[in-house]
Amino acid sequence: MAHDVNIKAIAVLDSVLTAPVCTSLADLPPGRSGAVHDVRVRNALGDRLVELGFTVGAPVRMLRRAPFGGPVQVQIRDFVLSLRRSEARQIQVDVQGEPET
Amino acid sequence: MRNIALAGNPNTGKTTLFNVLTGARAHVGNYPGITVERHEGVHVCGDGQRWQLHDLPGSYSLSAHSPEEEIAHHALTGRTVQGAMDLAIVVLDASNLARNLFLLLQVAELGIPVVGALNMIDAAEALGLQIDVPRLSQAIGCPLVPMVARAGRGVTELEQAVAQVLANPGQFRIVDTQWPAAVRQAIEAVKPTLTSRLLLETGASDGEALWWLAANADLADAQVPGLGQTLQALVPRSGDGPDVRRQATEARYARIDSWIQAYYQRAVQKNGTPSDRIDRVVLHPWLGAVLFLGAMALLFQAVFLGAQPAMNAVDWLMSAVADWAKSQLPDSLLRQVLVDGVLAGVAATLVFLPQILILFLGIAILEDSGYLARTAFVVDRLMARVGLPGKAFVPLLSSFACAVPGIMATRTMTDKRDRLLTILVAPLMSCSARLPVYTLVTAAVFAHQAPLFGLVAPGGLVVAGMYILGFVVALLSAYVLRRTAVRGGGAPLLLEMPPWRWPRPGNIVQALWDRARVFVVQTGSVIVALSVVLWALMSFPNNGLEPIEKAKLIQEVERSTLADSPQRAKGLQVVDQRDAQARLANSVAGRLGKLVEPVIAPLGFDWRIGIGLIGAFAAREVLVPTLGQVYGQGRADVDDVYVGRVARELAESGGLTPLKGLSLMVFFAIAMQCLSTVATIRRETNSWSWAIMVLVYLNGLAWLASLAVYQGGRALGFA
Repeated sequence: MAHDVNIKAIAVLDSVLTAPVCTSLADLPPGRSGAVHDVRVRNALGDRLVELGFTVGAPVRMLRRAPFGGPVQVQIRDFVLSLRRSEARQIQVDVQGEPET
Repeated sequence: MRNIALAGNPNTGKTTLFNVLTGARAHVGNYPGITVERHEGVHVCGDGQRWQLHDLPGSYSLSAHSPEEEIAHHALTGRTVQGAMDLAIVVLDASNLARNLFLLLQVAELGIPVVGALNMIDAAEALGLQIDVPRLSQAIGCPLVPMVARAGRGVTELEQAVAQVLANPGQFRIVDTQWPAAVRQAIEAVKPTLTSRLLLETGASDGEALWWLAANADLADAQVPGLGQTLQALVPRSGDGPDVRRQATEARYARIDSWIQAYYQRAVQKNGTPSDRIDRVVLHPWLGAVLFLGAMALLFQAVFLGAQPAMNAVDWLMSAVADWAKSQLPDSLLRQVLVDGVLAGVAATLVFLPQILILFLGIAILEDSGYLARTAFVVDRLMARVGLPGKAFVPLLSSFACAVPGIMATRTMTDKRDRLLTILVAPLMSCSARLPVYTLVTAAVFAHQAPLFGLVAPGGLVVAGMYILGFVVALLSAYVLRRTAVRGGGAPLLLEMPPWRWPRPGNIVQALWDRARVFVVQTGSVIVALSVVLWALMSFPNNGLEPIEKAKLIQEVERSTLADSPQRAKGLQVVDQRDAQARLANSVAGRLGKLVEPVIAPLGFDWRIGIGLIGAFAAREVLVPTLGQVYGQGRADVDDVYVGRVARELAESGGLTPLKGLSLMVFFAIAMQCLSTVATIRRETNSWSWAIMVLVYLNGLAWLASLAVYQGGRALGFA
């Protein structure tokens, strides 16, 4: 019994550890890449973001953040976009790969 | 003639292609959002066929109902042009195919035959991208023509592809996307209403149905009665219901991704793209700010020091012409009109041309290289803090040239309050009309100060300070307006960063030529006309000193000096000058100046500068010839160069001290003194009250700021 529980616990833990970490695009550290998980807002801004290419699974990469909470610069698919952090917060991203050293 | 639309994402070289095809010279830049209106032109093919080309505003999509997308949609479906388009050339950025193909699919969904122009293929190849064009073209179902529009490469092939599709439109139909069930259902549900209400002969296309499905229900009802209800039932905007627009977007991209995966290969960029490597330095958190300030400082130093020799040359030439005219014509009213009115106006225009050209040379290089768009990244934080929308960036940038095109560029803003706020602060960007004023005042009071560290001209610094002042006051005004008159709004910043490019000499020469022509022809004619009017106001009624008083003064000079002595000549000259000053004081302009003097005296200005201010309310640059006439009255020497002479007279007469000069510049940096801008605001906001509000608040603010500078400076012990 106890053995079974342990195995289950390990399996759950394992899936948590290997599953991609989901975060908002605004919190993606510079240099890190991810895949779009979802655009949360259901309004004109959300529709606009999806039309620009933030579709589910699209590759996205944080290039840099402006200082003092300024806009962020990201590579989405094949182009570079500047957007404010408040907008970037609406985009959920599955983080991929290892942090750059 | 066949109607052909030119559609495409912003900054794909659409306007460049339009210019190449039609020989037109529409403005081309390296930032998104250059084309707000629709341009038309005729292209004559190699075989003599003629196409009517319609250059549509650049847009990323056709479903967002922003002004530029509405223009594009209406033109494509034939609501603004006679008959729908026979074909659309969709210009695609070859380095960024996915997002560009999205628009191509949307155009095709409207049932219009499409040809894709794979533009900037050279840049894509340089990035190591490989595109299997024949197979990609076959998969999509429309011809794709690789080209480099700015070099004219691929134009013949494009012609052939277009001719082929026009001859056989049925053969080149892009198969409709396989819509998810919910989308299909929604499309079929609105089609009957659309077909009957819009009187469409062939039935509504999928694209037309999707356009309305993305529309606001009230708006839809206003244009197609009965549609609003159908839409509201179909498109729940909140909650977890099927979101038709979102699902349609995902379906299009799924299709595009399958093409991209099969026929488009990206090279692995180990160290980022070349553009990104430049960005790492230029947009570095603190190095970026240093570079930004450095670039601006360099630009203004170049404007001030670099233009000097050319200005002197123009000045010398104009003085020579004035001398020649004086020697050829008898002393008469006509000579006075020509020399003091017309020639002074022409001189005041031409003499500033070198500075304007250097300023715009700098801006054109920054723009074409891709730096200008990146300044958004540097300054957006400030703009967001005070409540300015991200989309205000491009209009405010254009306003540094002139507020009129800047205010027109706000048409891309969907939110009415955002747009209004941007219009209200746009006139605070120091436009090119303020430059002559800054130059004159600087020459009068700061020219003789020693350069800082031996090379930085203080004049250049003061002027750069005026540009910063305008921007800062704009931020403060926006902050206050957002909390009072213009609450709400706040559209997002979504600005595509164009790749870095070498500036193209052709574009830059074109931009300079356009600027020079506008300045000399349009601005110049206004200046000349106004300077003649002001000359008349200053010359009539022609009442100098009372004859008895003048005779008395002359008698006194003759009694106290020896005949033919230099003292007597000098004395008589002084009498002449007093006579001229009295004439000016008694003229219409002089009386007006005296009338406003009580208002402007606290700012450090006397009635003579008041005359200049009155003239400047019609157009700011007129200050220069006006002050030239005000202070030049009764002086015969035209030996000095023009601006130098006006500046010296200003300084010597005691009319302008450094403190008064600073006060005057601050006034000009803030005040609303441009009738064309007021007219544009009235037209774009469709309301006189906003136009008047801008006049009142900016001039009030200018008065207060000027007062603070002058009275503050006096309290600190400056004169």
